[in-house]
Amino acid sequence: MTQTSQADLTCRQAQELITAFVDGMLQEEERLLLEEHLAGCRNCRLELELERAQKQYLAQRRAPVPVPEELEARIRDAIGELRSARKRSPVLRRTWAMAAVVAGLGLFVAYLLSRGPHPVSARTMSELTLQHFRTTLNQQLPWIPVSDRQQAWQVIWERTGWDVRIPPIRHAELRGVWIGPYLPGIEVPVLHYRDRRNQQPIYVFVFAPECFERYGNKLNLEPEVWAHLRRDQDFYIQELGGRHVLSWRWRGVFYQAVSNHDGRALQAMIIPPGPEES
Amino acid sequence: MVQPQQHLSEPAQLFELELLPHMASLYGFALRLTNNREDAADLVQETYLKAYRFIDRYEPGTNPKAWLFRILKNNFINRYRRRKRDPETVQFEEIEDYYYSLRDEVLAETTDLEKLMDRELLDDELTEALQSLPLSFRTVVILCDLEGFTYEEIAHMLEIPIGTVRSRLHRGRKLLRLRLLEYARQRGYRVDDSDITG
Ligand SMILES: [Zn+2]
Repeated sequence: MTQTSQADLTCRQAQELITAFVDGMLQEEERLLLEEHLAGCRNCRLELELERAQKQYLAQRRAPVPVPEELEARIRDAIGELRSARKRSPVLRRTWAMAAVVAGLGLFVAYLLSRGPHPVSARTMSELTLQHFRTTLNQQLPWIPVSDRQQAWQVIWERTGWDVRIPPIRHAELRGVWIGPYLPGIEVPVLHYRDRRNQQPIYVFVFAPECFERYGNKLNLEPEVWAHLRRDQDFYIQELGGRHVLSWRWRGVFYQAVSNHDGRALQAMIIPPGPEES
Repeated sequence: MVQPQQHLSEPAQLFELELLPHMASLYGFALRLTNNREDAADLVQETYLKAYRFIDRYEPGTNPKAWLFRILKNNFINRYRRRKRDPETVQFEEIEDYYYSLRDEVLAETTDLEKLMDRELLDDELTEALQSLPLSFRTVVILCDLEGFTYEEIAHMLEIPIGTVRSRLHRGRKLLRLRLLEYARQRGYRVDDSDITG
């Protein structure tokens, strides 16, 4: 290809910039670099024109396709049914809840056993998370297998309606999601990861804002943890009985992770949202 | 005259006024993704049911269309990903030489790019060309070029950084362009003579 010697960009680099240039999404600095390259490169000028023509052509094809006539009626019917089902029995609002309750019985029983004589509120949230790690999560639980963050997002979204960021964890793969009782009446999703290097499990508990709105007093999160978590990059590590519980907060969603890793090592594996993502 | 809809409860009203009007675009998106009318209709219905069930998660004032598209996209991936094999991801670098020779061959015959892109390309051909792209590229091209979403909106819908949107879009457009040029060559681009009076 035509490569000009006076420009700093290669044609490949220039053409990647052309895409954003056509969409008006280039930073000033990149734009100047690209314009400099374009001035001396006919090949890339052609690509720019083609890219523009293609974008314009596709925009013309934006015209809405005819929607099947009965679709709107179908949707309204389905929603009407949903609405009357809710009226008849608000408890049945989520049929999956039944399944989850049955599935969660194991956890609940374990919880009751582990609770001993102490009142619920005596236990802090980090203690309870660790408790679940030591007892409940060691049992056979009906994990819903997932292999990536997209699937995990979908499972949580479908069952709870929570739109939460699934943490990407370095060196670890997602294995499953389980939605079970964290406290009686409070069901939260637990994500199961596995560290590929040593096969150790990592569990992440996910708490949407509504958990705290509704059950804040029961959840008993240590105030200093909350106070510490202001930005996406903030983590709080607590050492409890030789294990570390890691807490953080993204977009109002609160997470607690627990594993056999050292807390700082685990923290280093968790990837907070980048600046573009928030 | 629009009647005030005071009899509607708030979620129902939100649903009617903010979500339902996007049905046609949702259907269009679903059709581009599935290439099948029935699947597309199912996807749209499923999307609206979920949106209704979880309408309290929708933040009024945010872009309702983007929210619906995100739900639909997730449903699609979950439902169809395992059923159909995604076209193999091709690195543009591997086909770069072919692309340039094809481009130059076609451009030697016509320099009117608008006509080149426009001419007689059937909607079926465009659909086919889009279907030949790997899903991750196809989704970004559809969302940006056919649906007119911004990079930020796409990044949010797909849960990827803006830089990834940009690079997927770049590669997706290039691969699509290759297909479009192939169609142009197949058809023969020397139709300009008959068109000269028009
Ligand atoms: Zn160049």
